[in-house]
Amino acid sequence: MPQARILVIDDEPHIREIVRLKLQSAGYDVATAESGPLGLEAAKNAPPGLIITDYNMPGGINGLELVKAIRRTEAIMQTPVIMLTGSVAVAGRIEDEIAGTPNVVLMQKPFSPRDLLKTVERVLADGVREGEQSE
Amino acid sequence: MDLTSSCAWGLGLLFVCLGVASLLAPRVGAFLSARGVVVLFVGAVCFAAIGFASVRSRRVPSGLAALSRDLEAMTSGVAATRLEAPPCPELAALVERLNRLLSQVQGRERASKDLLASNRLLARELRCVLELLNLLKEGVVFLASAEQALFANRAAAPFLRVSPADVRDRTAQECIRDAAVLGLLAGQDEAGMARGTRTIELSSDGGAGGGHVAVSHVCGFGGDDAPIGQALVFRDISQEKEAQKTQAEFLDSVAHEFRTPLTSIRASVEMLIDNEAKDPESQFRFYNIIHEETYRLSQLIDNLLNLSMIESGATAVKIAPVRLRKLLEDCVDVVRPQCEEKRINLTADLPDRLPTLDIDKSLFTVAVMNILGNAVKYTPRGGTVTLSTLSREEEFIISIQDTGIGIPEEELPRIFEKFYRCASPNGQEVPGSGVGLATALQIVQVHGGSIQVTSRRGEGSTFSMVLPRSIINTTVGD
Repeated sequence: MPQARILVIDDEPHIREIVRLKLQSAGYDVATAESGPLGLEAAKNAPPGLIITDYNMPGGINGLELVKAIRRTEAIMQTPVIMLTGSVAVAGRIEDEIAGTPNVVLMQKPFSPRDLLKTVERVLADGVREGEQSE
Repeated sequence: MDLTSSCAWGLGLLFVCLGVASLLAPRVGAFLSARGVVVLFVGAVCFAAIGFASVRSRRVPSGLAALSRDLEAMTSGVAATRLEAPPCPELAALVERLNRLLSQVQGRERASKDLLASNRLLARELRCVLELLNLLKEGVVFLASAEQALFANRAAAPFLRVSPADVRDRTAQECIRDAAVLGLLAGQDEAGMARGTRTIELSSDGGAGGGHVAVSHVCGFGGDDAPIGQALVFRDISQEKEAQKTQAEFLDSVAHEFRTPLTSIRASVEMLIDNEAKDPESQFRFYNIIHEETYRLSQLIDNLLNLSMIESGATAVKIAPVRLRKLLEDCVDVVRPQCEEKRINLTADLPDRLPTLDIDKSLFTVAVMNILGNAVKYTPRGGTVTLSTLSREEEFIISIQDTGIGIPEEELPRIFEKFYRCASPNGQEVPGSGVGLATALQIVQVHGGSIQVTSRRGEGSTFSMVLPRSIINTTVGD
């Protein structure tokens, strides 16, 4: 039974809730946060094994800026990140920007909870393979 | 006939008379010898010849004098355009030749006048064209070749090394500021001018003082296919670039706003299929998410369509008398179930008499519903939402006040932007499309009004639709 702690950061309450239920159902310990700053704070306070974050979030810090902040924070700088985005154009830009950032996987919305779970299991087991940053 | 020729003729006549008289009158004949008669005849002939010669020799100078007078008159511009034929044939040929010459001179004079008039016209047209070119907001530079600039209008100034007035006869290198533009001209000398228009874009460092500029280059060819010159046109495309960027961002936002509810719907359905919700309460939760997100998608589509059609002018605003009380009560009825569920005190504080408004009922209902729906959405359980109207001297106001989460002051200026959603964590707890207020504002503006907002974070907001009194229909009663 997986025991890893996963932090889910998304401003959309329904998505947060569905992801939480899916991962909890698979046996993970799930924490949620509704914004980048709150998510960063939560990650610092209790470093998770994996962070799932939305890209497009208000509150002065989007998913990409959150990843950069995570990489600057010693306790979580190696933590793998799955980033969700609903924008194709943004996905292209993110891919370019995260090209040099290790341990980040992109997932396009609308995603399947099954696929998300598979990605979570793979990333937790093997880490993010180089050159396979986009799902 | 002058005095000399008159005397000669007189004497000749006298000799002839004496000769005839000597032949006819024996007395006279006796008086004059035969020798005398001969002398008389010879004298008569001589004097006649002298008289005749004198007359003829006097007719040439007089003809010349007349000719001179005619020419003098002609040069002063008051005489006829031809010289009169003189009485003496010696001068006739001369006059004829003079008349032919005169005719040629007059022809050239007419051509010269026509040319002068034509030049004046051309000069006026050229001044007009140059002045119009100077009024263009696009920069224009004409060159005979890369070695000789002809003209630059005022708008071309930011792209030039010299003043537009000083470009004439300078080389392109001396005139044109940007190397990329010079590159357009490179190789476009007389031997190698290319047909068609070539365009490059200069960014903010293109010497144009910021923004984006499109530079088009075209070569002109004469009827014989010989190059006649080149033109450069500098067009500021900053606004187009900005519009393209805005459109791309808009589409990106639309895609995102569609994918977000779709994600919730798809994920909820999959969770139900995978039997992740085992108890009825969990199942109801997923069904409810699907229901809410489907409604959100539908609202998003409606608002986007309304917004797009109003902005593009594609929709005809159908103004007709609408009873305001009925419209507002219908809106209240729509949100009443939500209010009851959240135990929100929904009050329609409406006066006994409400006017009939000249509005587009369908659009106006969308505007009221978007604001009223937000008020209910962002007001926590147990709060209050009040709908009221206020009739002022200059305006008629419909207000929707709530005791909701409020809007941070720094975010107030942006709440009517498309897809803008407040960053307040509490605000983000409520799903929304981010186009509801933008649509409402567009609709109210179409009706000549505006929306005023007062809000305090944590205390609530008041949205006031301020409408001109001209919108009140005075011919139809409540």
